[in-house]
Amino acid sequence: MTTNRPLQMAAALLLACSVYACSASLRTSDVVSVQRGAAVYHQACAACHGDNGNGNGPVSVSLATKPRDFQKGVFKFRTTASGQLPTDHDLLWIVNSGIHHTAMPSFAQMSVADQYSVVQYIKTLSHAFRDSTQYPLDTVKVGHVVPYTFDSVERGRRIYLQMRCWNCHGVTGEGNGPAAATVRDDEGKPLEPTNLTREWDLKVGTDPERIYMIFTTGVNGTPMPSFASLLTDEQRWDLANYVYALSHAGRYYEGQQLNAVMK
Amino acid sequence: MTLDRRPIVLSCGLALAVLVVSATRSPAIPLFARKYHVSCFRCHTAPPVLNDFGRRFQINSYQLPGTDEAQPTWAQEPLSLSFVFAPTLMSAHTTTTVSGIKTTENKTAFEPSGLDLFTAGTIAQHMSYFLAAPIGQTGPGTFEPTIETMSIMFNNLAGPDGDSNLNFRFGRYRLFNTFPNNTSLVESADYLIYDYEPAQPLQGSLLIAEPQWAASVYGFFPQIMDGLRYEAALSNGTEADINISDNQATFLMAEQTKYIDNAPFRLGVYYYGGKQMLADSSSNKLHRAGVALEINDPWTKRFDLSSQYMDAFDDNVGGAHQEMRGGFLGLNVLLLPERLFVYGRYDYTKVTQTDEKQNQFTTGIRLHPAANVGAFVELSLLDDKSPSLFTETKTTTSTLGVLVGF
Repeated sequence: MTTNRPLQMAAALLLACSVYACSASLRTSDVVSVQRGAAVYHQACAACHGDNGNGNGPVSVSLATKPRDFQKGVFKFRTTASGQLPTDHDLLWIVNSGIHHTAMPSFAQMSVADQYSVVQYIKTLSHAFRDSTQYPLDTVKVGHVVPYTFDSVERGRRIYLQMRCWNCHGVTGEGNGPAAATVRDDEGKPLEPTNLTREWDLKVGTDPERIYMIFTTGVNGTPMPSFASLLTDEQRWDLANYVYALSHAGRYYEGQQLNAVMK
Repeated sequence: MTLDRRPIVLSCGLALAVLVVSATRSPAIPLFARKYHVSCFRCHTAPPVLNDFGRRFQINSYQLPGTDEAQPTWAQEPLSLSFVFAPTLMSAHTTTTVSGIKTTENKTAFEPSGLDLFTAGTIAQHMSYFLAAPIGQTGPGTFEPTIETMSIMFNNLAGPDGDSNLNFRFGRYRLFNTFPNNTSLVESADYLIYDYEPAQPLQGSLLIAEPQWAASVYGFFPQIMDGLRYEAALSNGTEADINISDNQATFLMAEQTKYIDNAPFRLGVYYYGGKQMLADSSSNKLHRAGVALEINDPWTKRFDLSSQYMDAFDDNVGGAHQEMRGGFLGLNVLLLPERLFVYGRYDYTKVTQTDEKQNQFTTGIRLHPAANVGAFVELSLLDDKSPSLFTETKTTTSTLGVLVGF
C-alpha cells in the first residue's frame, strides 16, 4: 500500500485546500489606508504606471495608449470643471470601471477598501493634490436630463456639425476628420481622435450621462474642450444623445438609419 | 482514438460562427481580454509573450492582480470560452550526411495546428480552474481531442487577497518557468533544452516544459524587490497512469524581478529531479538544473534579451550515465507597439559522452493587424551532429503562419 501513499497525501491536501478555500472569510483589511494603498498599487498598478507613478512602468512601452502619469496631476475623466483635479469618487470610478479601448481594466473585483486605499495612494504621487489653490473643486451636477429621443439626436447632429466636431472626429464620427492626423496632447504626443461609431472606443462614454459629462468638463491634457460655456445644458445633452446613437450603430446621415436604433 | 471528423468540424464551425457573431460588439478578442474588456496587449507584449502585468495575472490564478473573484465564471458574461486557430505553411529542406553520403529531402506542407479551446475562470472565492483542449490533426483525416492542461487552483490561501502569496494547484499543467515553452514568440522551433530526453525506450516521460500531472504550491511576493515568484511541485510526468513511485520528479523554482529604471531584470533558478521508469522496468534517475536571465533594456525598453543555461544528468542511459549541457539566447524587439515585432533565438545542446551537438538559429517577424490576429514569417536552421553515429543532419525550415483567436 506504500505506492498509494503519495496519492492519498495529495488527495488529503486537495481536500484540506478546498475546505480552507471555501470557508475562508475576507482576509483583506477593511481599513482604508495609504500604506495598504501603496501595497495594492505596487501589486496591481505599478507594472503600467511605474513604481513612482510617472506612467513609465515596464509594460508601458508596449501599449499603444500610454498609462496615465500620476505625477502630473492631470486627469482626463472627471466630474469637475475643466482644468481641475478629479474628486476621490472620480478616481474610484475609473478604478472600478476601467477605461474602454485602453489597457486599463476594471478592478471592480478588488475589495472596496483596497480600491479606496489605492485612490488615496495615487493622490500622494502628485503635488497637485497637496496644493491648496486647487481647492475647492467645482463639481458638475447633472441638471435636467434630455431624454434619448429621435428629435434630441437630430438636434445633436446639427450641433455636431456647427461646433465642427467633425474636424477631428470626422463627418461620419469615425475619428477620421481633416485634423485627425495633427491632433496632439499637451505634451505634444500624437493623439488618435475617438472613433465615435465604435461603442468600445468611447473610453468612459458608456451612457449619455457619461458622454454629457465629457462635453461639460472637457478632457484635461487634450484638445477636447469643455463646452460648458459654449453650449447650453440642453444642447450638451442633445450632443451626448447623438454620440450615444452613433456609438450604438446609429450612423446618422439623413435620419434614415437612426430609426432602427431608436426602436 | 480516431473520430469521425464531420461532427467535430460542424460543431467547431458552429461555435466559431456564434462567437464571431457575438463578438461584433467588442474588439473580438479571446477569453480574458473579452472578460475584462481590454486588448490582448494588456497582458502580452506580443501574444503569447507575457508582460509583467500578464505574469501577475497568471500567478493570481488568471485574475487581475490585487483581486480575488468570488462570482463563478458561469454566472458571468461573456462566455468563458476561447478558440485559437493557427494554420501554417511550412517548407523544409533537409540534408542528411551519413558516413560521408549525403541525401536531401524537400517538403512543403500546410500544417493545421488544430483548434485550441480554452476555458478558465472562477469557481468560487479562492478557487479557479484552467482547461486547454486542442483538437488537432494526428494523421491524414484524423482529428483527436486532447486535454493539454487541466487544473484546479486554490488561490490566495495566505496574505492579503489578490497578492498571490500562497496558492495551491493540482492537475495537468505546465510548471512555472521563467521562459515557458508556450510563451515564446518563436512558433516553428521548440527550445532544444526542454525537448532533451535520453534516447531510449521510456515508460514514463518527464519533460520539464511539457504539461504534466502534478501538485504544487506556488506564489508571488510583490513586496520583495519587484516581485519574487516561486513554485514547489511534485510531478508524476506527462502520463497519468504511471505509478507515482515509478515516475516522479520534484520541481523547485524561484525567480526574482528587479526593475531597473522601470525595465525588468529577471533572474530565475530551477531544479527538476526524480526518477523515471524505463521500458525494461529499470529506472533512470535524472536531474535538470538551470539558471534563466531576462534583461529588458532600460533606455528604450524595446529590446528584451532572454537567456538560459541548463545542465541535465541521467544515471541510466543504456546502463551508463549521460550529461547534457545546453541553453539559449534570444532577443525580442518591439518595433511598433501592438503591431510589429522581430525576434531571434539561438539554441544549443551538447551531450558530453557522445559529443552529440545540436545548434539551432531561428529568426522571424510578426505583424498584428488586430489584437487577436497575427501573421508571422520565420526561418529556422537546425544542425544536428552525432559523431558516434557518423551522422549530421541540417534542416532549413521556413514557415508562414497566421494566428487567430476568438
